[in-house]
Amino acid sequence: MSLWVDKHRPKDFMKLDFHKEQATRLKNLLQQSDFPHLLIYGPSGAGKKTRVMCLLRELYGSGVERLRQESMTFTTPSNKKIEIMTVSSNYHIEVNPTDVGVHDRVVIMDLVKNVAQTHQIDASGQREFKVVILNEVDDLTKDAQHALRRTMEKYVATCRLILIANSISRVIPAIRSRCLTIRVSAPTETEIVSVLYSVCKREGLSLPSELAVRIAKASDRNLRRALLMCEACKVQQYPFTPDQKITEPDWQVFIRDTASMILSEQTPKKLGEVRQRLYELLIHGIPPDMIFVGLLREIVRNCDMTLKCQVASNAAMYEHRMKLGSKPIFHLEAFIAKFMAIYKKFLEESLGDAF
Amino acid sequence: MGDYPDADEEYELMYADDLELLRESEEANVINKKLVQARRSLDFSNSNPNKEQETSLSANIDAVHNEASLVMPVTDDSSLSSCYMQSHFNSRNKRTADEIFGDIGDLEFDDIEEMPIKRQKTEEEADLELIGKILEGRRLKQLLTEPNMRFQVNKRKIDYDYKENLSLNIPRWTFMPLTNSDGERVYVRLESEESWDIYLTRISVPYAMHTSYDEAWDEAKKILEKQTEPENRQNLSEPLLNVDSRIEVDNGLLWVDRYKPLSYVDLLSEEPVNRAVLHWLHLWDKVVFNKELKVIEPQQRNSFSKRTGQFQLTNKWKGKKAEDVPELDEDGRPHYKVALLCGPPGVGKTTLAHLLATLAGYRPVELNASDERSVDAFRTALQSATLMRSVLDAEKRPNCLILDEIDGAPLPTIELLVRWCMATVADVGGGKKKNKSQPLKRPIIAICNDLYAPALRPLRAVSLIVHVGGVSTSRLAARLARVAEYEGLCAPPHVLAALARRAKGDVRTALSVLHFIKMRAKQNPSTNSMQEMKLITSRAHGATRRKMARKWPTDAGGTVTKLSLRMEDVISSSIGEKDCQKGLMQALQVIFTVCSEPDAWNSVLKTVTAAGEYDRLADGIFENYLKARVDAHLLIACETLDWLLLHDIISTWISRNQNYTVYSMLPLCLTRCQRLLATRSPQYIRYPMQAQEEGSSLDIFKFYKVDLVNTPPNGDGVDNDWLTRPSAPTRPSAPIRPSVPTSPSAPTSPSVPTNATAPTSPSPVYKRTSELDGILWSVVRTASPSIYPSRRALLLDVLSLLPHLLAPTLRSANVQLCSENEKNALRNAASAMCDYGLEYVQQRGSDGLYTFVLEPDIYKLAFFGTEERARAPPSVRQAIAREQQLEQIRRNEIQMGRVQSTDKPQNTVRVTPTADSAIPNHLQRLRPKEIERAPAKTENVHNYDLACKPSVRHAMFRLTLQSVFVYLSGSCRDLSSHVCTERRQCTSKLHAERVVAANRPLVEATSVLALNPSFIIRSRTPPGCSSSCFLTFRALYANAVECFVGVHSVPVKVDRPVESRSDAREVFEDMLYFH
Repeated sequence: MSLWVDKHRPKDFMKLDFHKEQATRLKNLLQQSDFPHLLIYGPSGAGKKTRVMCLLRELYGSGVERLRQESMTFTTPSNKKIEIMTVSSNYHIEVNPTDVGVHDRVVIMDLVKNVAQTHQIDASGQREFKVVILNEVDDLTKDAQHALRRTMEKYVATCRLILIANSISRVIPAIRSRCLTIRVSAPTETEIVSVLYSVCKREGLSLPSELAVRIAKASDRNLRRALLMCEACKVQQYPFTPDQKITEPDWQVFIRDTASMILSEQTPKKLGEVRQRLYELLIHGIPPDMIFVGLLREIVRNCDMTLKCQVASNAAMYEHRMKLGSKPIFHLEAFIAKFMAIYKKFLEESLGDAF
Repeated sequence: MGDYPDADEEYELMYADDLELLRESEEANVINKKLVQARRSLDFSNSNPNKEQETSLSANIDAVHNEASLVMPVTDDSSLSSCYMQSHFNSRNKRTADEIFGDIGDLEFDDIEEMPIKRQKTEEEADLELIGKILEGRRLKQLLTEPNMRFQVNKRKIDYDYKENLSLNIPRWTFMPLTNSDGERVYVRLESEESWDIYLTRISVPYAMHTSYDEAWDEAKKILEKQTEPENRQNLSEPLLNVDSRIEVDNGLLWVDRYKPLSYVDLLSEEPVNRAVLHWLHLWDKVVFNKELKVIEPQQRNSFSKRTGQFQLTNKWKGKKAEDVPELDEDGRPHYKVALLCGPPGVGKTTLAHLLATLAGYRPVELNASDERSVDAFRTALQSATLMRSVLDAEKRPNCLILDEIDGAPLPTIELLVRWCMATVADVGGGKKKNKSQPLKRPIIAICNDLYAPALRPLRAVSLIVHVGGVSTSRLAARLARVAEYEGLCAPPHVLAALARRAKGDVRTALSVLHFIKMRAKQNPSTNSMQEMKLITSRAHGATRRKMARKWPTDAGGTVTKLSLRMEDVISSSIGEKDCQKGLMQALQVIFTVCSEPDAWNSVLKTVTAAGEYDRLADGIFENYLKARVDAHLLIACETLDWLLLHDIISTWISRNQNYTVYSMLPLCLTRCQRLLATRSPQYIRYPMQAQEEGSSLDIFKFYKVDLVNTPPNGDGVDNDWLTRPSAPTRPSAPIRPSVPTSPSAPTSPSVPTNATAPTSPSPVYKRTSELDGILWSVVRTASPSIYPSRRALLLDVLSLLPHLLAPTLRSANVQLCSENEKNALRNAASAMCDYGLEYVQQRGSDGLYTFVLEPDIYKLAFFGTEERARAPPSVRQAIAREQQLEQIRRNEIQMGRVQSTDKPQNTVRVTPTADSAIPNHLQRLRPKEIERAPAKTENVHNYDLACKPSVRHAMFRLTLQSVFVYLSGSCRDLSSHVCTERRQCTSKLHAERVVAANRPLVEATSVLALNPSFIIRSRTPPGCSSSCFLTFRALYANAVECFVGVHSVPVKVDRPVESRSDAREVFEDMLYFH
């Protein structure tokens, strides 16, 4: 627990840095000694997990912090063994069903049932339910989500589900309606700055305000990233200087370079080069939607206002199609080709106007 | 014929000369009534003995001469040409030749003398020339008939005598074999009725000049009828009678066998292929026939112009030249002992092998899949074929073993064959095996369909591989026309062309279809689709009169029936359409080529459907479409991609819902792309390598190779052929070539971003993805549970920034001298590594130096080709590695402490046995040493222990232990000096050498055991007692020594005769005591 992100993670509702109102409400909810299934969603780095852990601690005490890592094996209907990592304490179990890809339904069915069907042995002074935390629910397949909704009702007496998602748009309405949905919005830049300050203070460092603001800006309102970037800055150079270079994740830089390549030249040859870079990104496991977002953001920055709408709507269309399809590279390239065509036409028209 | 001497005329001269010789020899044959067969040069061996002495090349030329003389017409109007040829040859005298060739007759004989001079040219030119001549010879037969017909007409009749129409020898003209009651075989000239009719029309023309057409016609007819009455009876009745009777008599004989080529010119396979095999066969002449061969210098064969693109398809033929492999080995045998013919079924590989073996003067001995091919049986067959000679064979020809269908043979058999082939004279002389008293001295031709069958792997390396491609459509159609004519089938050319096209180069299928249609027509004439029609000749009454004149038994109904083949028959026959598999590359080629057929959409769709594998096909389009058409505005690209997206979405939908109702939409999407992408210019199409899975790539590659073979080589007839076969490469200069996955210039290597070095790995996407995914996974698995991160967050945020955190800036000084800040930074980095389960591991680089490598290597994951720049300097890594180990120990201790504090004392006791059970057996027997009487010995160590904090102490022990292993695994040199410096040396340096022991299992096992800090801690009994703890270590040490000495006694002895073993032990003891 040496990284600042982990070390200074608040463990109690009262120590949370932002969304304090929400924290109080959650605390009040727990004081009823019971709570419904929760669906916590929000962008990455907003503190969803932190809140869940606070919640568990509030619920069960410090026992939840004694975690162990186990791997469980399941057998799919087609007799394939799948293995999944779980992290559990005596009171809860956390699992990431998307790790097993398309077999997530089996995990949901077996694991949740297993947990739900066993009652707490030591019921005295404890809650009578266990908590199952499911990560990345929005990436679950439809099958798995459907498997989930019946389980949620059936075993409500013995287990509570906390679902964590980035967005609920891909969570089926049946599940949404069974859960108390809590949105954890990303911290604002000022909130990030204040968190950075407090962390640096606890570390005994002095952080120039300009640098803090720059980090907050660069972090894309992602607190995890902001803290990591801050720490990276510290490792590279301390004492801080206001105009210090901020290290960014390399994939972001890579996407930015790719976008500038796209803007520099619109030819099939360039498209071929861009494709290689897209492959490179996909190889590194960068989710294609992140690539879409990153590219669009960079491209739009250099576009005329009339183009912006067009490009954005195209990006949305192709991203949607990508979700329907299974070969992200096709869709990414299709978007880029489309943009190149639009952009080239636009450039030629504007050039024609100039003459 | 303006500018003499051109190639045609030159050839004609040669041709005429040879034919004359042929005629002489034939006459001799008839007179002598004796079968005189040439040993290998056939008819010419006697008359032209000097040729025999010539080189391999001249042998080839002989063959060409032979070919020319073996007149079995190939062309459509074969009977015509045969008629003509025959009459021409027979009637020809010197004067005729002069008439034809004018004043150039004196050059005739110079031709042969000129050949050696020509041979001085490069091999390639000679090859091309020869091939040109052979092709010319084929064309010539067609050409000759037309313009000279009239010229020859009158003579023909005069010279027509019985001698020319009957032969005891196998004649050179078209014939029908007849066997009389004595068993004597007579060959009768075969001529069809059409040829007669056409012939009649032709000769009528001159008369039309002065009389009215009909008069002249009748007159001429009468004359002709009178003149040729006896011949008519013979010629007209015989063939048909023959056909009919034959079908009844030898029903069992397939048409493929009945009409197999009997001479070189008749071969349907491509010329380079034929020549390659024949050339190779002639290379054996020195060994087999004791003839001198002029070995052609490999250098001479090197120059290869573009024109020889046609050779490149027989890859070894080209490869042989490129590799400068001498054609003959030191024993005078060819370098390649086996010729391996491969190709799709039905293209005539077996026929080719048999015919060429016969032509080259061998007796073909076939061994195919129907024979037993166990190792013993095979050896027997091999011996009998290669070492013995048939007693019955009158001509005493040597054997040529033909191993048919060898791809089905078991691997041991093939290995035996390879051994057999590889045995040189020297080897055999040395080896005392009585069975193998001789090296291989006879050619072996192996035939297979699947060149890449696993069993053939050993054979591939040692054999001359000749790809026999499919027969081109036009040639196949021509041959079919001839067969149809023989069989009395009336087949319009377009029907036969369609049949040939559908057979796709498969001669056997095409012939079988013909056969089948005919047989069906015979069996139920009323219901079948064949038309029965009266034999309609150009003039009905002439025909009827002729009919009246003869009375043959089958003509019971009074009508002559002739079967005609209609288009429906071909279309309704199921060949070619059902179950036809197209290669992926073929389909891609079609998509990227403009389709010239009228119904382009359907034909492309058909190809795409036949290829299947839509997903991969989509990949193929995706990877190739950017280069397909000039598309400055990227509109084509957009459109293409839209179709591909649709394809992707549909196929995903299908696989998600398992609903295949829209499956038929998939090929439509791909076929649409053809409209957008097709060009006329030849395309260089790459195999879709990028997105595919690695495992299957080899298989596909293999299939693709076969496809390459399937596409017809660009020999003759391709120019008009490719219109009808859009899948054929249009030009020889643009063959489809797969991109080789391992080549350094592979397409996957991404474009170099300006600020980064190129990501060098050209490996397929799939491989790298799985590699990087594996890294991510191992981080997820080993990360401590308290920070259990979601993968996405880990990848996008943590891991991409973590490398920066692991590279603190340190002065390059000893860690002990670091400032507090630096120590803190170091500790932070180390503990972060522990959190995320990272570790520095020593690895030996290619330069032999040891480096600390992060394991799992998140640098690869976090950076895009810039990872080397971001890595921490070696000194820092080393420091962190050390710190990390200490941190790990510390953490384990904390955990242990927690276990001890929370659990009951019994638990601690229980811990030990479990730890023990993890120890291998060879360690367990040393357990007794832990008894308490040791303290006296380890007194000072005890003190030493007291001086340190426990954690540090353990670390020290561990490091020492490592160095011990280093010590053990070293080469045992300078043991004592090593010990002296041991204490002063930086242990981590020695640590590096631990890897040396990696291949020594026992030492490694021990070292792994010892290096596992948790084990060290757990093996303390009772906890906290340092002296006994140390005893445990001692036991381990001693054990390690034993292991080492035990395992490595041999190398040690080699190094140092006797003392080193005891040396090692002594020094070791010293060291232990020191501690």
